[in-house]
Amino acid sequence: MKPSSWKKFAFPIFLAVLIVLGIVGARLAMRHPQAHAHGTLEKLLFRPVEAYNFELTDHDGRRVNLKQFRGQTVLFALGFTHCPSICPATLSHFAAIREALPDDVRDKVRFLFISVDPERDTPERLKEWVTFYDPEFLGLTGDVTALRGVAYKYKATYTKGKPAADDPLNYQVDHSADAYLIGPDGRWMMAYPFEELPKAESIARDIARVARSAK
Amino acid sequence: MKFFICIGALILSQTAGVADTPLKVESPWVFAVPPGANDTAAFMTLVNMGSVPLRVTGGRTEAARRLAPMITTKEEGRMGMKDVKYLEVPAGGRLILAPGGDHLMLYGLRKPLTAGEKIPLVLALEPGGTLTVEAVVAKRAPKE
Repeated sequence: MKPSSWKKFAFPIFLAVLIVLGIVGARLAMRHPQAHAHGTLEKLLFRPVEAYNFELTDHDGRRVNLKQFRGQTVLFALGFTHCPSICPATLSHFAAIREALPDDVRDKVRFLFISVDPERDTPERLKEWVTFYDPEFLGLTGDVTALRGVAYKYKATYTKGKPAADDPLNYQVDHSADAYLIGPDGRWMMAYPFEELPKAESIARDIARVARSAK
Repeated sequence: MKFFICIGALILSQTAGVADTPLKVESPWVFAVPPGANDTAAFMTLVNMGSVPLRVTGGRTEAARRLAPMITTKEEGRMGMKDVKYLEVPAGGRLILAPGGDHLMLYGLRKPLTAGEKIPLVLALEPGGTLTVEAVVAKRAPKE
């Protein structure tokens, strides 16, 4: 190719680069406005979406759906009561987060724990386990279809492990350990990876901002 | 000063019997779990002041039927746990056992635990020896 002919492509390339930068810039700007206020969040959604309205049973045996919490901010995680370290850690972080919330916000936030082990986690067992970490926490359970729906819609998964040879009720459940934040307007705002949960003050700040944004 | 004490302890530990070990344990604690729970986990920082790697292969405790080393796994976004034969502390190094990572599982609690209670754990070590630690039951990781 003659040296001077590449100049023909220079301007179109320049234009293409500008357009690409423009698109990237616009997408970045369209991220949730609160996104840039917090440094600890890893798995921010590109744009908050309407939270999937799950229908489950709470630990008092009442039918509950997520829409009932409109006006409140919800933080929930999946787990199971036979979990010896991940779920106790999650709920103890939730307790620390709840404590770190400002007084005017604390009662507007609900912490939920959804059991993905309906075989063993009856409402009664859930209640005893969940309220141990904080009497205000709410445990939820449901049938396999409902639970699979929740997991799928929140981009989570769980699988039951192999039971012990001598006891079919002795098994672990591998599960996504993220915590999901739903705003008072019913939008799914963010997912905190398990590793971020010890940052109680920082997460409490996020939640306070979200809770106060309710009209 | 600490350095000389460490060296002194190291020398002494080589001359002492099987009961002594260059392994030191910091801040051992056990997760407080609700009364109905069968299992819980123990965490601590293991410090190996010796010149060979040390392994914790398990051990025993009065508080539970079995004490076993475990690691936390993460696969396709799912967290889980796996039995391992040992947890290794490098020579001159440390290993932190914490929620979400390596830990010792207490299987089959004999009775419910109370926050603040001290649970003795006898750790079995490779190449040899044991180490008894008193782990405090806590609802949250003790602040350093």
